[in-house]
Amino acid sequence: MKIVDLKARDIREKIVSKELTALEVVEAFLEHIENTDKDINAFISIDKEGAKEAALRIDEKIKKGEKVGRLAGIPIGIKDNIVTRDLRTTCGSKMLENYQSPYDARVVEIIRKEDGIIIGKTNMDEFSMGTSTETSYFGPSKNPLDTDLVPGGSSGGSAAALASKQVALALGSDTGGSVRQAASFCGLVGLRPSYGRISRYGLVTLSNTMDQIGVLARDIEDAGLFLSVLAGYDENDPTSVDLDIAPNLDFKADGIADIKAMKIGVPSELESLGIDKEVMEAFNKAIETIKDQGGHVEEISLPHLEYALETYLLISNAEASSNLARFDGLRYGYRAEDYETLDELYVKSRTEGFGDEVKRRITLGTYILTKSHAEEYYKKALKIRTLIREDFDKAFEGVDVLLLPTSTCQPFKLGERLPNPVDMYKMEEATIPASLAGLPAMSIPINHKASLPTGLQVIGKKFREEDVLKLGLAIERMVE
Amino acid sequence: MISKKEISELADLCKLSPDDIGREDFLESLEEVINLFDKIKDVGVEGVEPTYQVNDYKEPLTDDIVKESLPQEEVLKNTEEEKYGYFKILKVVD
Repeated sequence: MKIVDLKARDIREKIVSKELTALEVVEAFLEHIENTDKDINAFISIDKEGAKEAALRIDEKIKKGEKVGRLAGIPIGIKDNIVTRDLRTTCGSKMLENYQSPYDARVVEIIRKEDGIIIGKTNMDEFSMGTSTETSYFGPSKNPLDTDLVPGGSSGGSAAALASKQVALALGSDTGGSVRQAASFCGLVGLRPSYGRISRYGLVTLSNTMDQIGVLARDIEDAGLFLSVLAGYDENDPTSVDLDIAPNLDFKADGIADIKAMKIGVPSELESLGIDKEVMEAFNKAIETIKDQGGHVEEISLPHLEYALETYLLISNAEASSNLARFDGLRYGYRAEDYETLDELYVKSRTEGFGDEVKRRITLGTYILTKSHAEEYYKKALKIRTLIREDFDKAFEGVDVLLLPTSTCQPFKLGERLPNPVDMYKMEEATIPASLAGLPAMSIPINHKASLPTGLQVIGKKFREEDVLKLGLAIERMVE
Repeated sequence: MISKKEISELADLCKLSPDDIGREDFLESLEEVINLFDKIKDVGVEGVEPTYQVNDYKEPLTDDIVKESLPQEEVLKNTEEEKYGYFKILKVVD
């Protein structure tokens, strides 16, 4: 087996047991990036020297017999909206093309402390606004399974890097489904934990009441490892929660016992979401397999599911328009060259610095928040959000986890949907509900033998990532 | 339909060029999204409280202790222009 084929946990184990050095690992991954990233475009910035130095420090620790961290020697890709001191953080935008953060995000601090190796910053839709990574100022990433196809998004660079084995783990961020959707398009595991589970300190915000840092991994065990390392309260993010994460799961178990012990719900309103036939077929087949293994699957009702997309668009655009007001061309970010007044400086810098999708969402968000529309749109959406949360609470009185498809469609050709924003938004219809309610949700690849990947989404009760991982592990074993 | 006047007001609020966000194709895309929003008119929300945050959380009070903050040069390193340790902008008062 080649080094780049190894699972993240195996890399650490082989480094600790001195079968491999961290430097050998890093060099193998960097060489692989050199050979593949011209076609994939997964990275915006690569830190060859920094990665090698980090590897040498780990090898030195091992040589001296010192203890190493839980991510020791694992090459990791970081979505480029998570700030790093030593690499620029662009958010896939001309606005931040040369932005150099003066501090590390909390998750970056943790990765460094746990001896993880940051390989570079991955491509993304501009300010996370997109579902295909095509709105990036740095050009689209390609799906490693077929380079004519998009890798999903907005964490598409992270997914593409991981699927093409340029890294062994990757960080993304998930507002309406960006981690899960990209994972489903690239045949990976993508986990968005409960809102508050991982500190958002240093994550450039899109929609602050829904943004959540999530993990991408090649299997459930790697995802579980990464989550357990990153989870925790951070005084710099008052919305992070001070709750213990469940201890590591027994990944040696076959998971069948867990399936039998859990009650699984499937929403009866799935038809209202306009999910493609191929996705529904793969989904139904997975449900049948779970039932065949003795799983208790029952229909539950989420009556407001069909309003989730509109509710999400109203709230997230309103929040985005306010959050992106900080890009004024003064303190950091792009500044236009010609201006005569302060107002002209703002307008020109923002008009030249942002791409169309960002401008569309800022304009829509501003429209939604104007005095004449705030009541009928924004405030009403906040109330429907309550109804959606209550639907979940009720459903979870009878079941432990819910199953839905991840994306409403399979990966499509580059450029195919870009001209129609509404088509793009609709792809997140099945991932948005968990975002609105702040629930943990994970995408697992289900149809390995088919030509195009499909994701199955497991949604758990709030702060019950353990259930999501357990059922995910069982499903992973079944579909293998 | 979004009127020219509305676009001009929106552009002023979001500090974007009215000519840019007033482009025909851009306006069409805005209207297409706004048309989606009509769907929520069907939902009854009488007596429903809004959700501002999904978790119960209290604004934490921290002790009033002076901590080290970013040095001035770090704060200024991403600006296009600085002078005397400050962000330099246009003169706004004569």
